Amino acid sequence: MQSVEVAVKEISRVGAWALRGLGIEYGVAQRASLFLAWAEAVEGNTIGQLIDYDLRVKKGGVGKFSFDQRSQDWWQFCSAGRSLLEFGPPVIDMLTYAARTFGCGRFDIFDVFDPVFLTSLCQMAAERGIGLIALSKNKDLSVGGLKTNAIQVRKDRNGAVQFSSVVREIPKALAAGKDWAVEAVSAEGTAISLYAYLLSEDVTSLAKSDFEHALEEKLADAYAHGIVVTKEDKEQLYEFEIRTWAPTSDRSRSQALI
Amino acid sequence: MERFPRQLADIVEKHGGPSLSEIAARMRGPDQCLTPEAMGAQKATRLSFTQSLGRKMIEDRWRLTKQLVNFDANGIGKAVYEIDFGKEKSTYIVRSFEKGADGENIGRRGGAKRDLYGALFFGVASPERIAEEFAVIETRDRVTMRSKSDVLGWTPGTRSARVFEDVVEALANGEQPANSIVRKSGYLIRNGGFIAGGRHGTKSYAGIPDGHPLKSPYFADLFALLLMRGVSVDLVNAMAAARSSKAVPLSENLTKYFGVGNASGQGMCVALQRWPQWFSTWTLVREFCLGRALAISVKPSSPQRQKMLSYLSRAIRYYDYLMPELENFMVPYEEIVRNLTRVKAWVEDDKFFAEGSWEALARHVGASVDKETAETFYALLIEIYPEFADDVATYLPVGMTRQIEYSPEKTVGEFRAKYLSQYHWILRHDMRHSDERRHFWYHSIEHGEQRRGERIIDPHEHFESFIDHISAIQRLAAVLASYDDAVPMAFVMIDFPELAFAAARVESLALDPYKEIQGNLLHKDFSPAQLIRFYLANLGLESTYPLSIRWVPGVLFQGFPTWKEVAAGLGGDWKFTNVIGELV
Repeated sequence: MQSVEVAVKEISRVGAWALRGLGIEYGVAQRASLFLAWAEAVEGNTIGQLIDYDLRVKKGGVGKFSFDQRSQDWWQFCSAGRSLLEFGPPVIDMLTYAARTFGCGRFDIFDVFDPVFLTSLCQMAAERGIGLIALSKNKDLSVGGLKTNAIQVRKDRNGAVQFSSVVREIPKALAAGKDWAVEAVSAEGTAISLYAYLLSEDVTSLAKSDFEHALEEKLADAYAHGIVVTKEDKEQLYEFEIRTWAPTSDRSRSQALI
Repeated sequence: MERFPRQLADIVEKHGGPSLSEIAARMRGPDQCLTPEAMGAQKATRLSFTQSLGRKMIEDRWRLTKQLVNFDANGIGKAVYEIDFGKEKSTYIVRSFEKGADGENIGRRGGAKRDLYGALFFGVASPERIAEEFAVIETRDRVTMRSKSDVLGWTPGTRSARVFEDVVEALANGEQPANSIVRKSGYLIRNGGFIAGGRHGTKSYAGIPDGHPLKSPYFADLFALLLMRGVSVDLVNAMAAARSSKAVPLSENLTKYFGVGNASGQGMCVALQRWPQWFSTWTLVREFCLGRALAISVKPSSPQRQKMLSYLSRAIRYYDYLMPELENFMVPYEEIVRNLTRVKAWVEDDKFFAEGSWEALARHVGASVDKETAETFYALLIEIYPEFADDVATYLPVGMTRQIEYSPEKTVGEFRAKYLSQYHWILRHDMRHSDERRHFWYHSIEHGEQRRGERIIDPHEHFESFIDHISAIQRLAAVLASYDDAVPMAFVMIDFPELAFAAARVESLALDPYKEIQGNLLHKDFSPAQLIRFYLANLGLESTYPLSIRWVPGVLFQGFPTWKEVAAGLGGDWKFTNVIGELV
């Protein structure tokens, strides 16, 4: 397979339109494009997920996502075939609300077909000062391209976001006094469970070496030196974008320039 | 009370003079400076990016070395330059082709079929890498062309249809081009954009390390365009020399006179709306400096008065000399010259300084002359207090890169009371009539060119570019009204994820003095040229002249010092110096 160098910014810019070409609304696509570019830079092979999503949409396998509230800080969420790029940011918003209001929160998400985007969402949470633990029964999560069934993210005193591919520490906020607990694996086989907590308790306790994945450095490197993707993936991304371009005509041409 | 960034408050303290509240009291409201009409009249100031870049170049004494300049009589050939920024260096290469038949006004639909194509490398490129990039450029096929992360961007360009060939002919005949030729155009090459920021695989701007001389917003873009200006001179000189043994090179005065041409279309309106923190910051720094200039104490004998007179004289000569192709969509330069002459007489009149400030005169100017003349005067008020303006300009990259975020834990009631309540103009604007929603922006299949269609009549409305801030915020307000005040915003956003961007926009900018354009960009009577001119003025173009309501040519870097002067740290005061009479 031929490979080609692309820029991170190229993926976010073209990606925003590509996601619209897949039927995703402007406000959602604009936000999601940043996670797409981030994930492609640090995890790789994410554009294939968009192709998968396109097929799901064409087969009618995508519905409206929904959730049940189990307690004040615990929700169970059915993705209805939607991409994590669509529902992930509002899920992190909910967990941000829970952590900032109650000190912690939990989301069990069912039927996630593209968990490769999870680290980009963890990054978003950590930048807000929210620590996150993600657990899955299956080894379908990834941190910097490494397959795992657990992710923990934190921000250190200098503001650097760090990742671990195992659960290093269960902070006090998650440890007791809840009608739920952090489990060794998610509640159900197909679920990914997300546990959020305010980072203040977590920051000081463990050494940097325990959070061994410096994904921000990988991202910075990708910004500076580009990312290598397959030519097919790059072209597919542009193909999705071009769906949003209107056919031309003399009338259309008269609507540009002079 | 609106908030001012701490950085600006510190600058006020550092410089002494008027206090923050005295400045704030004199700053114009958004209804005076953030309507499309007002924005379209605004002029480049010392805070504009071209001017900031120029100051840095001269201060740090950047140098340019010609490593290869090889063009034949038809202009076909190559050039390679090296730029020395001090600690860093870059290579710039350019390939010149035979003059195309399409003319200048081909826009984005023209793809890569330009007369010139350059590439600015991030660092010094090896001969092998230069050869590789030349091979990419050679194809001029925008669909297949790919660059790499060691290239900051490509610089397509087109020869001036009005003067290029006449200039070459004159030089080949051993003469400088006649005044009648030179006046027709302020440039030899018109740029076709800077293809950069990740496009076609070029380096992402975020990948430029902190402290790099081209890290500041728009510095890489504008510097690349400035390089084209140098190429244009090398090109006409080489072509003339190849055509005749009696050829002479372009004079130093004309080398300085010619800038680089520019033409911008309505896609700029979309870019402006996409990043509200950009125009909010641009407007804040401008109005902040203007507010201080109005608050500052001025005696009849103040040197700033003489400085203002000197700049007005230059401005009068400048506008008197220029011959725009069309003046139907702007204040004609003849009128600006007439009004600037009146303003100059008022500056000489002591009665306008009886209050001990510029305020009385500024009021009189605002009430007595056209908007563009008034804005020229306001731009000069900023210019005559350069140290303050230069410090304020350091806030530009800070304000422009602010995060746009909302707080998921805030309740609907809090959000409405603290943030949404600041958007009276938008919330009260009546969008019901079809005239209000007439247009939408879309990308064409012809290289994604931005065009403006009419709803119902034109296709692809469902893929319209975001430009309608009024409806976005009104929709957010309507949805929030359907929730109880105690509901956290996160619950609303998980029900309506498409509104998170509007919530973030509102919360992040609500307390800024200048947050949104006070105009409806969809309206049937909206003229995109107004926002394009605003954008270009902030980039630093002194003269822009719309050829239609959606297409605005202009000239960059006219009068900018030569490389020899820059390397010697000279030529810093180049505002309005680009008049032949003054240069000869």
